[in-house]
Amino acid sequence: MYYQQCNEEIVLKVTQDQRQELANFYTQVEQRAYRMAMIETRNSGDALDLVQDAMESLMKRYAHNPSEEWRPLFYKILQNRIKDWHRWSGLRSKLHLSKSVEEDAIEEQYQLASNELTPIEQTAQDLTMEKLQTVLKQLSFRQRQTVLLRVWEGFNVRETAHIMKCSQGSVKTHLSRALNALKILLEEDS
Amino acid sequence: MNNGQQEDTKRQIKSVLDRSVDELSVETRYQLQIRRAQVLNNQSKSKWWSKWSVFGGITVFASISALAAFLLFSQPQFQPQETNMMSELDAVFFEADTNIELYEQYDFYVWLSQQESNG
Repeated sequence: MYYQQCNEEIVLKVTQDQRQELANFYTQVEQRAYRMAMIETRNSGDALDLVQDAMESLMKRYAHNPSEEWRPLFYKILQNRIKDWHRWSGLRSKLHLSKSVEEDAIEEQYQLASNELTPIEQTAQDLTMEKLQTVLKQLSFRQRQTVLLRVWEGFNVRETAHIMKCSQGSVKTHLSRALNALKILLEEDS
Repeated sequence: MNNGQQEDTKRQIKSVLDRSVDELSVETRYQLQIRRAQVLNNQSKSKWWSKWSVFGGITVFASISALAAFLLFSQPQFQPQETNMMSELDAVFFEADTNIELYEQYDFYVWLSQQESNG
């Protein structure tokens, strides 16, 4: 009951304008965030949950911050959620509480294959993404984070360091090593 | 790897990822819209169980700790050794009492012998 009351108070403080702004912001980032979460989890349900949790956390805690700050904050929250997810899934697989990540990934691939009938071109492109996902999986979590944030999302070194809670030097090192590894792995695959 | 090669790799990765977002299925986009609406209207369902799991976790942990403590301290080796301690004390007091009696007897014999010698 207390938790619900708290929620109502927080939501009441978020004005209608802010909510509209947040809605626009979420529309811009949600698909990319989902893809980012999918690369880590390889499970659609988990990826959706992670994105939703990040959205909710941003609205509760940082809705009053200037809207320019939302993007790095959102990705910071998302990265933390993904990290938590990795910890939890590691524990889950140790305790054999549910299916392992690999089993989920296989199931997901079957679902995709059965649900979507794609033209040949699209199949070729999916394979490219699949290949990239496989290659990215061979990097460490920090290296993957750096690649996605720096290369894809276009955050600068300072912002990436803030999101990843590490030094700017570490970001540069992670990125350089990741790109070297990616180049080699992509060449090997092709 | 030189800068040109790095830029090529970056471009390649970026284009694949961008394309993968464009290719998200209608179902996924719809799901994302639903999740967004739930957040904005404060109807997220993913929180109640996490709260209850925390409370449940604490309760289970406390119960198990209490049970473990009860079982551990109910073992004989953790019981206070009252019986043995009391018997040791009894022995000491008994010895003391005996000594006092002996001293009293000794005093009596000394007095008696003095009386006899005096006549």
